[in-house]
Amino acid sequence: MKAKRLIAMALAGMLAVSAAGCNGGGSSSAAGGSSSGENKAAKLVWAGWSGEEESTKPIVQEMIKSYNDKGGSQVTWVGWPWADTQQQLILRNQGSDQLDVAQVDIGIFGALANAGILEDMNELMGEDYLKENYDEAALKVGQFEGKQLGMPWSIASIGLVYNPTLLKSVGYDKPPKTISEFEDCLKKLKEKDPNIIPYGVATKEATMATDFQPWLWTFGGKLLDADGKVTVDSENTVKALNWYKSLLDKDYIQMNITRQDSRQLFAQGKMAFYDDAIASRGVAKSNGVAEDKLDVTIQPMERPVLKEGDTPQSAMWGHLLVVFKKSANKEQAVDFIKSIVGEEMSLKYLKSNGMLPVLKTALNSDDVKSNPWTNSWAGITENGTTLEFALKSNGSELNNIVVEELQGVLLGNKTSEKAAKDLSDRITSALG
Amino acid sequence: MTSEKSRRKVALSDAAVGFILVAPAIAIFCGIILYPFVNSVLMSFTNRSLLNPDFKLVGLQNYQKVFGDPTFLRTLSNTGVFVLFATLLPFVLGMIWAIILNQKFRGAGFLRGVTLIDWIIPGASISFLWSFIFDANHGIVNELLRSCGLISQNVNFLGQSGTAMMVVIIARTWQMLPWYMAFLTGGLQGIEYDQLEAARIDGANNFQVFLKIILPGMKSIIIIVLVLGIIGNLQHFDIPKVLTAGGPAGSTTVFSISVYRQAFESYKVGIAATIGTIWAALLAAFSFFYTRRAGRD
Amino acid sequence: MFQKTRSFRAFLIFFSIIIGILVFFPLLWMINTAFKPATETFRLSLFITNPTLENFKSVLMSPEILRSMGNSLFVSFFSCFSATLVAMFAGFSFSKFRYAGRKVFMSAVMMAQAFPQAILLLTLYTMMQAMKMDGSYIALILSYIAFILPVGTWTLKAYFDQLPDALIESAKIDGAGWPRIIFQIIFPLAVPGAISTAIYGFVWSWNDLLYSLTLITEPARRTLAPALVMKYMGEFNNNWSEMMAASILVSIPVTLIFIMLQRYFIAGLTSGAVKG
Repeated sequence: MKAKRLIAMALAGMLAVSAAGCNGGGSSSAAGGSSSGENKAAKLVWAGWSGEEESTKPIVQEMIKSYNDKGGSQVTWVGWPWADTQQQLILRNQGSDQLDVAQVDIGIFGALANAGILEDMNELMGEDYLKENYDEAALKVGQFEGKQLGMPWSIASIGLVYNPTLLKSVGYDKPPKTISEFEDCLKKLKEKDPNIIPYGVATKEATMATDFQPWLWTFGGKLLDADGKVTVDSENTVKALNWYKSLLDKDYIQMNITRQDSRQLFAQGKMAFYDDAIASRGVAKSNGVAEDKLDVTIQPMERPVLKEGDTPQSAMWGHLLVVFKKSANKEQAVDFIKSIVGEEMSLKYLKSNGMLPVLKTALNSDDVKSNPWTNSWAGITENGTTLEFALKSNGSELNNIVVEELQGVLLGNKTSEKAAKDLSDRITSALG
Repeated sequence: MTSEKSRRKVALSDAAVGFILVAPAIAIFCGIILYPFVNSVLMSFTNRSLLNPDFKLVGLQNYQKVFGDPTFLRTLSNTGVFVLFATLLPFVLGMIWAIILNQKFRGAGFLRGVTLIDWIIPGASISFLWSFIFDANHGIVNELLRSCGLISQNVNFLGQSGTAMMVVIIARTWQMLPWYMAFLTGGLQGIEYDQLEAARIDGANNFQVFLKIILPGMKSIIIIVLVLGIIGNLQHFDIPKVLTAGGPAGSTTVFSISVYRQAFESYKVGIAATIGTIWAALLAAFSFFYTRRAGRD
Repeated sequence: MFQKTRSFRAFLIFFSIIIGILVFFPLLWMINTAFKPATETFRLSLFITNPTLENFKSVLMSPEILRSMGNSLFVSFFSCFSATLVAMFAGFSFSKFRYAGRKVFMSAVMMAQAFPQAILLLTLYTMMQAMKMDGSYIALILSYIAFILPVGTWTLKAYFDQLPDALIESAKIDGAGWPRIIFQIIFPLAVPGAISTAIYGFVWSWNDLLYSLTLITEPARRTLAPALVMKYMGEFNNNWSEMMAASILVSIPVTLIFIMLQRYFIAGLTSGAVKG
């Protein structure tokens, strides 16, 4: 019939047009670097997600452009959504596509490090050089079995942020320091306005496991001990689980809240506390908080402790840069990395997105020291602990187990004691 | 001359022509489905991981792990519930909607087209849309229920086990209703009027006509649409992933989510292949049964 | 088809309202959200306090979304057309021919959708790399065809089943060769089935996320679903209101096509259906 012929013609036309285009972009394993040696400049591929996101796209593009303008190696960007980056990197590493430098976050790093596909920075840049110039705590985050497999790009803890205005309205001029003060504050907030969610702890997706761990540590519990043995089945764990449940029962926290939800609700003044990192100020701004109102809307605080004198807990977070073993341009890649974490670029990054530098001289600069926001975060980071499953190859699976069991307790499906035991069994089985 | 020509044409046996016609489909099937399938079944007997190029045979160990996992039964029942309701609901509603829009009135065709929009909206957008509608704090469903006095406090639909699955099913039903409607409309319009007339003359009422003439007349389309709907729901993964992330407490974790997690989050391809093989075996039995029934001619 | 009795009218009205609300209200809600500024997404309001066109403007000005839409249109059209053609051949073959292995082939094609697609993807990806085809649309389109075949083949087989063999017999007696029989006599009678298959195939390709995300990595060749997720669901923020605006905009051209094809569907059915 006529329709089919019309469609066929249209398609033939489209084919012709795109055949021309297709050949151009045919194989995406284009342009490898000029192989090694004499010619220093190379074409590099930098992969990650920040170059795709609205809030970080401009600075990433600037970093690339200013490096390319120097005339040496040329960098191109390949990006995916944050949630897909880990799997895309693994697939891409196995394929023939070029891959030199990648942005990873602490969550992704573990799987890649375990797979043995990353190059040791100690070899590429020199261990002494690194120790001299870069912050020690930051460097530690990128270490795996004695090798520096990830170059820290920006490392800071995930802490608690609070809304000073809301807290003041219930009589808290300063954030609560102990758990009992914290609960009292939450109670007053809920009484004053039943429509707000006092504490927006993540109760959905892997982030729930991220938020739970510092609280678990606050109660003295641990998922694994120093030797990697599963120690989650303990009284302290049960206490932590019971505490979480009590928060839900009293309506201080809510189910089905993601980090993104919290960020938006917090910016709208519908939440008083939630867990986030140094970038949260920038996030609040992009969520509509006016520049001059930022200070009274969002401030960092140390996590409340069980009893006075305990160390406030926080989970280390941040982004790292890695170089792949299969890269043909490792030297050039390292040169590019140095420029990203160098003073000029890292201070620019601090200014545009609030990301903390790792270069010692940058950390000691006025930009950091004189800025109260940045300074507070540096302080919180001092006591940061790496998330317990961070360096495991199946970290996602392990975190998922924690999330499921925790949700089970919150929903009343099982007692905290049973959950602790199930956690122990399931984690042991997953690690085996 | 004509007889010579036709003799030559007949010489190219019908069977051969049949083969040639089906060749492209079989070729694609072998390359895209068969080879990866066989490869995957083989993988299920290894401890292959995406993180490690080396691997070794582990026999039935993966199967033991999968069947022995405490969450296996839960995943199985979640999958069963989801597939059952996410197939039947849009089927029934799609049938009714097809009947309604089959009434000859102006704009029926237009409405059918607009209904199809529900189907083409990207899965992630659908998930967000429905999570918003059922939101615990700002959702319209809660608003309506409260203003009707049916509940006194907002219900956290996505935060509780049973209701989370309900929302997932509703979202999927909304997405697939147009598809069922489209196929069933085709079936409805293919019913022969002679039979309808004859039944009317015999004094049948609407309900009897529907049951005795229309439904049987649409039988093959109904079977196809149900079987394909079931298979589609078994594969489906976008909505449970984005809407509820498989939770809470694993209450919306279905097979497809399980497989995805093992393959793309834990990179344990061997285990993922195992889950997949079990699933395929169950389905193969089911499909085969229906192929024999429907392909009787 | 149905007599307009009182109970039937009641049935019509009751379900028209219920299903009508179910089908159309969320769409209205989507539109409502698309007009809200990003900061107000979570504010419950049926009536928008300050409607804004910002979201729509933003989408229309974003080259990635527009380009990915073009890519998706190309891939989807090509996939649905090829898949329909292959399905027509196969459906016809299954329906009107008998040969050894026919039943096996039928089961095979039917089972194509049975195996979890996430697993097949892994092998496919490495296969494509080995053949240096990764990154090209070929891998994607072939995959789509493979997944569309089960529905397409069975739909078309059903249509062909309804055609009397006499049609083919008489054409053969008249000396017609197979090509003529197939293209001029048989296929035109299966247009409705072909259109249904084409629609199914189109939407399958249009909505696919997993395969297109994995097999196509070049930003310029990205299709729609990954592009939407990439742009609006990030580490820091989910820009829901703009995502709703984007979803609406990209669905418009496809909807228009559907509304047009709608007429074809009916016309084809009433003229081409079984006679006698």
